[in-house]
Amino acid sequence: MTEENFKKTSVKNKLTFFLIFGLLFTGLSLEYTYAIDPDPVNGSSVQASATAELIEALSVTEVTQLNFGRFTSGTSGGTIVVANTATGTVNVTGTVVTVNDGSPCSALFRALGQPNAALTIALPAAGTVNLNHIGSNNTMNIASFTVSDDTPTLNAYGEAIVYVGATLTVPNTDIAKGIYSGIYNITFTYQ
Amino acid sequence: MKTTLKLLTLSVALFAFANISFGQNVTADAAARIITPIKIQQDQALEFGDIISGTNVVTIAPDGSRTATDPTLLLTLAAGGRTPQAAGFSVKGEKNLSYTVNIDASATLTRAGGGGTMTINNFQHNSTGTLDASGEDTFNVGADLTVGANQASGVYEGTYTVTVAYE
Repeated sequence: MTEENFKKTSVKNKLTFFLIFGLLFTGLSLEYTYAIDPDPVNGSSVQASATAELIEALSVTEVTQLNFGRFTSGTSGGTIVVANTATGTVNVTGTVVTVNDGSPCSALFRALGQPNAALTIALPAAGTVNLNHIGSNNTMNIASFTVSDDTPTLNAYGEAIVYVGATLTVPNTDIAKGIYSGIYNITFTYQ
Repeated sequence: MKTTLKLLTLSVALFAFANISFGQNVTADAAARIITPIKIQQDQALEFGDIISGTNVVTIAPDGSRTATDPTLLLTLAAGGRTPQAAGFSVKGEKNLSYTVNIDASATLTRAGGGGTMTINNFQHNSTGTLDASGEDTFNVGADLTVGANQASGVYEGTYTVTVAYE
C-alpha cells in the first residue's frame, strides 16, 4: 500500500465510524422523543375525594293548638294575650273577662331535622290573621304573634320545640257569641 | 519527488478537514432531552355542601359556584355547615409543556355507615393544559351530584381518579 492509498483508506474508515456514531445518537434521540409521546401509562394519577352532606328535610308538627280560651267581651272589648311559654299564661286588657274551663294555652310546635342545625322561624305579619265565627261572618283579628325562640337549634336528636303565643283583639261591638277559629302559617327554615 | 510529496500532504490535509467538518455536523443532530416526570396532587377536595334530601341534581362548577335543578333544597347552614367548593389540583413537570387531563366518567359517593349511594358525573375542569415557566399549573374540578327522592340523610363520601399526561 502506498502512503496515499493508506491515507485514503484511513479517511474512509473514519467517515464510516462517524456515520455509525451519528446514527447511534440519532437513535438515542428518537428514543427520548418517544418517551414524551402521549401515553396515559406514563402520566400521573391521583385518587381525589368528593363529599356531600344530605340533610333531613325539616318536618314540623303542631302538637298543641293555640287557644284563647273562653271569655266575655264586656262593654268595650279589649285584648287577650297568651304568653309564648309552656304554661301559656293569659292576660287580658279592657273589659274582657275570662271564663273558667276555657283551657287557654299557647301553641306547641315540634320540629324534626338535622341534629344540631339552627333554624329560623317566621311568624305571620301583625294583623294578617283573623278568627272566623262559625255560623256568621263575624271575625276577630289576631294583632300579633310571638314565639319562645325564633332561632332555635335542633338538639342531638334533631328535635326542637317552641311555644307560640298571640294577642287577640276583641271588638268593642256586640259580636256573635260562639266558637271562632282560624289558621295561620308559621315557617321553619334551616339557617 | 519532493513536489509529489508536498501535493500528497496537501491532499491528505484537505481530506482530514472534510472529515472533521462532517463529524461535527452529525454530532450536533444527536441531542436528547430528559423530561421531568409529570405529577399531580389534590390540594382540596370536591365538596357539595349541605343539601336537603329530595330529587335533585346539584352542580359544583370549576369556579366553586353551586347550582341545582331544585335550588330550594340547597342549604347553607349558619353553624356546623359544610362549605361547597370545587376540587383543586396542582400539576408539576417540565416547564412550558402541554398536558392533558382525564377524569373518570362517574363515581359513587357512599353514605357513612351505609344505607345509600349517590352518583357524581359530568366532571368539568378549567385546566389551561400548559405548565408554566416554572413547570407548574393548577386547576379546579367540578361535577354533578344526583340526589334521589328518598335519599337517606347523612354524610356521603367517595373517590374518583384524575390523570394528567404529557400531550
